[in-house]
Amino acid sequence: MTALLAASVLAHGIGGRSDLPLPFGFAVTGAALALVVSFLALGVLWPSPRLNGGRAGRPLPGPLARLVTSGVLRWVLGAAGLALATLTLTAAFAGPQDTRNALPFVVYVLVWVGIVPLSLLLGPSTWAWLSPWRTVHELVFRAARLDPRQGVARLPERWGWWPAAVGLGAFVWLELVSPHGTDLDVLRIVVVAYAAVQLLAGFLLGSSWFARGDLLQAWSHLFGRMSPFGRRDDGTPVVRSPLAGLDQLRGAPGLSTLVVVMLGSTAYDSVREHPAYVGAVQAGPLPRTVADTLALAAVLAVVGAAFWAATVLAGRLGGTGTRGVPTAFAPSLVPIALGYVVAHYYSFFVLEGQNAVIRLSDPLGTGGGLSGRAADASLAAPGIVATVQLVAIVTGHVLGVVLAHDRAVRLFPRGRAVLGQLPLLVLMVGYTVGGLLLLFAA
Amino acid sequence: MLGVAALALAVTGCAEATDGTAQSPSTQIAPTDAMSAPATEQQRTIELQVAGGQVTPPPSQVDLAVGETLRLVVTSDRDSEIHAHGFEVDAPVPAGQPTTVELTGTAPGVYEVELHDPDLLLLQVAVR
Repeated sequence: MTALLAASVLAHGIGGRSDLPLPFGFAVTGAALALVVSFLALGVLWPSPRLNGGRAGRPLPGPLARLVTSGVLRWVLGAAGLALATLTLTAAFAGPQDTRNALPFVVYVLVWVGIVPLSLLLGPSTWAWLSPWRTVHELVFRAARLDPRQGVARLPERWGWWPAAVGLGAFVWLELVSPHGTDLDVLRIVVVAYAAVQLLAGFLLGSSWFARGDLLQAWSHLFGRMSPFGRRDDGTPVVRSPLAGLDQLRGAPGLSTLVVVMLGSTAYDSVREHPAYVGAVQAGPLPRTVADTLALAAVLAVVGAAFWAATVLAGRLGGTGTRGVPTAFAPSLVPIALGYVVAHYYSFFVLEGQNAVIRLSDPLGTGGGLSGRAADASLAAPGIVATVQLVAIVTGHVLGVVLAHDRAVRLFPRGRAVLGQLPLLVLMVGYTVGGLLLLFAA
Repeated sequence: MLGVAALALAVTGCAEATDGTAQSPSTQIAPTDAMSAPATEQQRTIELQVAGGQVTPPPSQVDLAVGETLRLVVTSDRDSEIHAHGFEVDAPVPAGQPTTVELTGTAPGVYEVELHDPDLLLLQVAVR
């Protein structure tokens, strides 16, 4: 392979393959289902709140519960995270400096995308347990006989989720806009600098920093709240409905922004791949990176403005005023964001996840391990991909609508709750149909 | 990316590579010189001009059946390089010389065909 090819491939990131457009019939079916479900929700769903997140669920049987409460699961995952980090850093610094290097695959495939299904399986603490910097932080504090939760300062409460939201924005810029997002030189610096910042902030502010300041923990935590496994407010490990965990989530500043970035960045990824968009940018006067940055900002602004307008209107129609309403409804966008993420990354994860494992099995590029093996594409067949996309988007929509409904009947006085949730239903139908349209037009 | 392309070749076992740069171990049954390739009834040709950083016709998505071959004739006003993701095609495009590459659909998906230096999307190929 020529060096030229290696350079050109790296410059364009992982993948190089995207999914075929969603068939028209699938897109129409999805849009119709979204509409029907939304209006059914208005008529047939419960008239008084039924979700009881913090107390919901059935306690796990003893041995399973002890796995969580004793810290066994936490340290098993902690050790796995440290092992993966060691292997990845070895590959990054001592491995082959070409497309055989595991680093970009670990960052963008195994961690960024892989953490989503793993969090859905194991619950909201998945990255908190797996995170190598958090494990190092905790080990250092324990060795020094200090409480990991205590730093020398406290994270101001009003910062809320903002550090994670800003971090997430920067990460998706690196992933989707930067032409150097998969350059090994760049990615090595990003990974080391990110770990250093996380450790430093953890030492300064205590472990509570990670929940609000590590974008990966926020990403894992919000999706992990839809896991069947979680803990009640009193700490009891339970198995519960996918909406109970989201209902339990307490509002804090920046939560809406975080969720909007989760949703909007995935939508932007569909936009930027559209040939009409690329053609317009190439014919336009702006450099590609500048145009893409503006487009990402524009998509986030549209998604965010729609959310803000719908929730403010909901507050007015619901008769409670607008204060706190956006934050109260932000969790109901998480299932929709999950639908987008699954639809968007399913085939990427299936194919490139295998390529990541193949590279990690031979971190130094010596030709051992699984190197030379090719990924199996049978799970990325077009029929399977289209079905997964449709099911993911519609399921996310249904869960989002149900959660928003429950929020509306809790928040708004009876009699105005139906009116109050109308703007949210319109918003969700818009997000869902928009998501389907992007997949159809891709 | 490379893995996906290698996989594409491995899946069908009879993939073509037009420029000989493919590192896949699969058998190459295609002729390396596009001009001497036997014209199949399925073959289509698309001509693209690149001048002043603009692609004519502008980028679009072109359908290609699995097993079908698409012939691209690219003329650029600058020395550059064509790269077809997923087809393992990577060939120099000397300024002013029409350069022909052939893309044969193997694994379903949408793949980008790009020019490097200047970096431009030429078209997308939707293999079905």
